[in-house]
Amino acid sequence: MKSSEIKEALSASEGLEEIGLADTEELKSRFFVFSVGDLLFALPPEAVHEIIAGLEVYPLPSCPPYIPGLVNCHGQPYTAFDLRVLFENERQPAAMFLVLKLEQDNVAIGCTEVNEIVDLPASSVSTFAAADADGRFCLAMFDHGGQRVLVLSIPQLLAQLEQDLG
Amino acid sequence: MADTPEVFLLDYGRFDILLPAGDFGELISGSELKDLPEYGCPACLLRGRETRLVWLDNFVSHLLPAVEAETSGLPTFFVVRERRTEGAVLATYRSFELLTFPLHELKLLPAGLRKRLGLLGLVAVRFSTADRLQYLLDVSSSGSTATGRDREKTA
Repeated sequence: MKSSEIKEALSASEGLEEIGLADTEELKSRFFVFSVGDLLFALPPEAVHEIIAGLEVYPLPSCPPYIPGLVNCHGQPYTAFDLRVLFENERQPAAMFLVLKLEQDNVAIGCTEVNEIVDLPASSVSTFAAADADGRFCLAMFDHGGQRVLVLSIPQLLAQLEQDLG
Repeated sequence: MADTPEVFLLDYGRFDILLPAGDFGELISGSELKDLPEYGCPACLLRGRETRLVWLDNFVSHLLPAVEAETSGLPTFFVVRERRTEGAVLATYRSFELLTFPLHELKLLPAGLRKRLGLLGLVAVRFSTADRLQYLLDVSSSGSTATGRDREKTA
């Protein structure tokens, strides 16, 4: 591999390595793709601990609209996120929840469908322009089957919640 | 706190409220106070001393929607053990029972919500066997209860 190729490959994966998105050996990124209504999102597969269907959401007071409440995951309360409220200001009943693997918090993301795990060349994943509103909660995006898929940033989601809760 | 803390359970229809019994020093039936005209006010005189009165049913319905109404009979007053200089009393028309639960069945809220909801008095939850959520309140230390949620006079 020439130095120019190495440089290009490193540039393409810059910013993705921090959360383990890049596969440095094959220069590919692996994503877990899921739907929330018509929206497509992606996370690193290792960020998802479990998928649970049919959980009831229990209301909580004084939370922002994108937090419909708590869900019960094996007896533990998890904060439920409704991404469609964040992105389209519309409620989306969740058919299932993605239970995230986080050390500091219990978070579950509601979704309507789990699509697939995709392997993409790192170069096909693009970052957001600073002015792009979707970039507030996302690290990157890519095109998959003609549809735009947003790569979620969990730290940015949690930062938004912390800010909204004051 | 004991491994099996005592709690007062109040049924609010779609959910329950749990009040740690250790937070309260005394329970007074409304029949003992029915002639006290001030007990509908945010501050009342209870046995000769001024206290902060919190109408629990109003506080709960403000926190959580879909509270089923129950206003029959006389209220019960839960006298809070004094932690500060100011006394406080929770009043409710709900019937209640004293129960014990293993401590491990009570779950703290997820970390991201804990601080904010703790300020409102919501400190933990318990998923009951019927998959019904029970909210553990520490209303006595909640700053948001200071108004007592105005309620029409009942005396």
